[in-house]
Amino acid sequence: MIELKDISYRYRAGLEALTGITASIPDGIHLLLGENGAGKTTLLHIISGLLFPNTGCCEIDGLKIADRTPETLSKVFFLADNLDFPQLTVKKFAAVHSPFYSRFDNDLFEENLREFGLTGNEKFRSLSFGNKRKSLLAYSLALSTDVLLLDEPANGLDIGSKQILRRMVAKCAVNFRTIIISTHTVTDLEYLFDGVMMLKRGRLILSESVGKVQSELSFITAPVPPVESVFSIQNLGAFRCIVPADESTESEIDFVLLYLALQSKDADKVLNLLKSEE
Amino acid sequence: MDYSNKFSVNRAIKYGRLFSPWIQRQLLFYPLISIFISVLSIILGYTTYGIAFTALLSFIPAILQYFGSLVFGMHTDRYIETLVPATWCEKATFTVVYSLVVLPLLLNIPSQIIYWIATRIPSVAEGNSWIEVHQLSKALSSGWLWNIVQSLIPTAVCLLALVIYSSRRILMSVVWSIVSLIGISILGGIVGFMSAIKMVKEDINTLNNNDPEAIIDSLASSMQPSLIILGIAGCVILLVIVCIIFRKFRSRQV
Repeated sequence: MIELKDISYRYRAGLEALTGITASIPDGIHLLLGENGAGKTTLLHIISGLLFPNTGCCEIDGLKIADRTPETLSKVFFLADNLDFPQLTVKKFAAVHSPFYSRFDNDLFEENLREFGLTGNEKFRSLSFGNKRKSLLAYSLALSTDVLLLDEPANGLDIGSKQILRRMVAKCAVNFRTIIISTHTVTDLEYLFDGVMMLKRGRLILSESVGKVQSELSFITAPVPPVESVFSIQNLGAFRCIVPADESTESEIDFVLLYLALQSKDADKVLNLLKSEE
Repeated sequence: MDYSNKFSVNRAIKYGRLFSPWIQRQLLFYPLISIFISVLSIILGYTTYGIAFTALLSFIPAILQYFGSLVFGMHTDRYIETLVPATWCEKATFTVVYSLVVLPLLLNIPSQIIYWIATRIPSVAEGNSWIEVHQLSKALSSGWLWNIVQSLIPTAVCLLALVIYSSRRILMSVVWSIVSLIGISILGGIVGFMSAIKMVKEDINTLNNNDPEAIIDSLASSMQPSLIILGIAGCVILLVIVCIIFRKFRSRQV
């Protein structure tokens, strides 16, 4: 369980990146959405302990991550957009880095690499960006930390590899683990998520379980937007609409539509629906 | 895996293994380079212009020491370094001890052993300019502290820049290390010049005698107070730099 308590973060230049972020993030796979510069990576940095918030704190299982004790650090791994290490291969890196993580599963690491069509003995610096990503994803998912933070994990991956990644994340997401995935390409990993968080200009405007969103909102396609529609967009001659959910219909979440709705001027209508049954 | 907050040497060494490819190379090649340069210096010490070449050769181990700590910034990631489950104190201790103790020892011990062996063989030591220069520097015994400190300050500055800067770490470390080296050289030059003037003023008779050993002794005694002061001041500066490095490890953010 991750607890974000009134977190604010301001860059040295004075730019406010995050304001008053408060949320409880339970175990499961969570999608972190937000426009460019909304503060997604900053939030991931704070959760991982790479940045210290100006106010508030982040706790993982009751331990303040900003203390950076070995115990708290062992609970988290953050796979950034571009990681580098001095070892020649990812296996050699794993040999010196994984001893810090007691739950590292070498068999799972080998299996993940095999699924991506890699051996782990390829020279890291000669790999393409996509293959570098694959090898690091295979490793970070095998670390089995309580909290795994993935920043744009599908970046640079081909279509087949994205499907493999989806299977891999689903397989690795065992109980008592929280995975937060920040991505702009939601469709690569959809149906995986247990929760969704959305940042807008440094504020966390949504942090809900997928079940809660589904119980309050329906995502439908209609030739014309229904009167009860709170948000709609025209798409290939039809309208994709968000309407209040009723008991008879249950639809899968359209994360793209939800994102567009919450970034639009109609965001409050959608958020009011989500809050209405609380 | 031990996740206690108590300082663990085992964890500090494990942290060092993250930089293993570079560190292994240094552990192997630094003593070899030191031995090779010392032997080459002895050979060149018999030639007419050998002293000039040995002076140039002596820069190689010095540069290897000054920039040795760059291993902590080459193809590494501050995310990985910061997130590794070890205390900041363990990370800082390994980095500082390796850069400021292990590396200088790797370069100096083999050289000192070669010098010690060479001085014990009269046929080797006789008329060798490299050994004479060594003996000369040993005559300035009061400057031993300053000698150590002046070789460690550029190394410490290089390491400090490495932990302070988050981008262009290597470049900035090299630049600041060179700046500190220039500063030390200017300071050393001023002290040497002032001591020479002082010697000329106070001990003109020694100069008139034309006895090189007497001149060296006189210069050494006139430099002694300045070298002691510089040595102590250098120690304080070094200590401050090490403290800042430790603080940076504690507070660094990406």
